[in-house]
Amino acid sequence: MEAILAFGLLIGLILGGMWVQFAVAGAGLTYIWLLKGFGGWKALGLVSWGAANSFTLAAIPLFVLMAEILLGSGLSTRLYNGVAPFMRRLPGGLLHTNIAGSGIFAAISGGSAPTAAAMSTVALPELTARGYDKQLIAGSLAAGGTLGILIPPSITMIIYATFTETSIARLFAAGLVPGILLGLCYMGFIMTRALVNRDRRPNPRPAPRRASPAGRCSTSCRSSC
Amino acid sequence: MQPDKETGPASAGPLFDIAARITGAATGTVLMALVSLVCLEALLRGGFNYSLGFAEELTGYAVVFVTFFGAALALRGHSMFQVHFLLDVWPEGTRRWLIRAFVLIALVICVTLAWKTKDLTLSSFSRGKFAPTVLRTPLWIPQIILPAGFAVLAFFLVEQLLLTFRKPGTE
Repeated sequence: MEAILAFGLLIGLILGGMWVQFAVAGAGLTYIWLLKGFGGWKALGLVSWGAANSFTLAAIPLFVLMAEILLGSGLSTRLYNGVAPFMRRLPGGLLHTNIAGSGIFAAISGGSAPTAAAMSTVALPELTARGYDKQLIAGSLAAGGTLGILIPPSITMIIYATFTETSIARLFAAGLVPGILLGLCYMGFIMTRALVNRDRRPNPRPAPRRASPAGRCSTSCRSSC
Repeated sequence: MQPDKETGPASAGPLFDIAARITGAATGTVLMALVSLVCLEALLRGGFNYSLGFAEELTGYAVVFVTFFGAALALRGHSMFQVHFLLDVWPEGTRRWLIRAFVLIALVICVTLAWKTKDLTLSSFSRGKFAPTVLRTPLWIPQIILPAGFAVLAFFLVEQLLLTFRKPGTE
């Protein structure tokens, strides 16, 4: 009963719009209080220290820093432009680039948020300008972002391995094939949607001749896309 | 993950700006120290089969610092994860009251955790606890990061609360 209450509180706070970190902390504190009363909070200090003070977790700020550097360096744009020519002939066109690009960027950045942010920065304006359906663009970018936690290296796997005392290397090895398969499934779904819903195919009109918001989409990319 | 706008995050006053600058500078310095230490350790281990005995310990402390003080900066920069789709549906007035309620709940959580981690720090200080490592660091020194981090988080939560009382468009 206590667990259901705490879980309900967690979902309610998150969906209500509270910061996720505080929602988790609030639900956790409530659960301890329901089980043990205020006395259960005595160990909070020791538990907080034990959980945060970890050499393994040092990988997380390093991954975030790397993702920020990659995002700032414009690598995501180059990556996108490099993958695009290989994907444009498939049914669904450049939507596949979102998935493939996300998969590659996930293998660099280690997280879903940087992957989705990096690919969205480039893909959203480019595909919108080419007349792709906005729902499909957003859907493919969101789906591609989820590859970030599955394709190694993954920050989420590091956190999981730290708290469950599991081998990080084995987790990484276990995530690779499912990550690739999931990416292929997403691409298969895009192809199916493109073949079934022909009315949602991109408008064949060319992209407007202007500098892309990312500012680095080459002329060859534009002509090939 | 998006770069900040040129205007920067909304501010409730110069006091908060100064606190954010100090926190940002301290967190950036610790992050660079963390990166340098890990790189040096990896280089020494891989290249010279030698390990700095203190690297793991100091890295752990740096992670704690970056976690809590970075969270405070993320809160101020509106980079902390939030689910907006229901919140944005409400009218402006209701939405502001909801945010105020969330900030107050978060403040209670922060103060509770700051209080409990302060107890841990004082306990380590009074008992003279040392880390079982090469440096034998008195544990109260790194542990003070926890209550300090929660206090900074609470400080920026107060700023968020103050910002909800401003007229729309002036933030």
